[in-house]
Amino acid sequence: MEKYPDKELISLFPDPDHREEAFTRIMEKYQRRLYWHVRRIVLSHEDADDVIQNTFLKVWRHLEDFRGGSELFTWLYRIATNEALSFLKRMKKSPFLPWAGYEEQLLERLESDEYFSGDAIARKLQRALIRLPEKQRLVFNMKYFENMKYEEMSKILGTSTGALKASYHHAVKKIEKFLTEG
Amino acid sequence: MKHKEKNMNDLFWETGKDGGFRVPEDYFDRLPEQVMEKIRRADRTPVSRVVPLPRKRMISLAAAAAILFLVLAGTLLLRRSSQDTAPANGTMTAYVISGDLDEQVLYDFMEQENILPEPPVQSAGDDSIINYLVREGVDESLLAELY
Repeated sequence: MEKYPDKELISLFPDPDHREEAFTRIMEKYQRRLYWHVRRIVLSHEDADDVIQNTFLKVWRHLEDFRGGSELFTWLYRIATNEALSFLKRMKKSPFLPWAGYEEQLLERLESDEYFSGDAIARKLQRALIRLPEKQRLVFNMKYFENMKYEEMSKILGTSTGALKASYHHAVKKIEKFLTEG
Repeated sequence: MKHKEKNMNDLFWETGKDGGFRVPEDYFDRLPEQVMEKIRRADRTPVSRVVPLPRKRMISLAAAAAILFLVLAGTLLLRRSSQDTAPANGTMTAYVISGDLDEQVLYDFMEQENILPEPPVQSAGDDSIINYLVREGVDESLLAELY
């Protein structure tokens, strides 16, 4: 039996006396999954920390509007994904972007991140992943690292399961090619 | 596909499926409280009063109308004060702005201000003209009519 069912936490949220407690429970329940999902998109811990905190702030502001049309986790995941993609978008538009492009900037931030201890192979893998189109990288992360089912992914990304399977298949091919030839 | 995934699995196995990513110690213990603190700070910060849209729109319209009225009134006043004589010193600008400037007005103004340019050519008397023509080789018989 789940300790704090989502429905119960959502029903407690509108009550000012229980609001903070209910929200803290939601954060404790989903923070790790959401954090790692965001971290694999933005790569550095500092950036992931910013994005995840902004995600939860947004959830706080809009949780009362959540009508339960989808699972709570699906809704949270969608917000986190959009926040992470918005972060990348802002990075791309930055006037201080080095000529090499935002992928290089992401990798540089990863290299200088004190919370990244990957070796040369890990760096190469990240380089391969960054080269993927954003959505393809998302699909790969969610399928491979997070073991998400295509049906769940479809609800989060708003894409058909067929398209997601094709996207994953292409991502795998590209990564394989980069790792063997790159 | 399975074979390719196996290769990737081997690679990821070597690096760890975490891919080398780490978090600070106690990060997840502290994160909820950090977020709640930000929320409490945001709730304490006074928010500027939100004016309902219709009233806000009325204020904008009223401001726009007032500015338009001032511009029109100013233009009309300037037009009324313009005369067909040389403007007094300092009002030439008004003529230029109103578009009522014509050559005569400009000439009168410049004469008044003693800023008419020197004529490029001095007016020549008849003798000078005739002498010039002779020097240029005009037949004297033709010039006889001028005397």
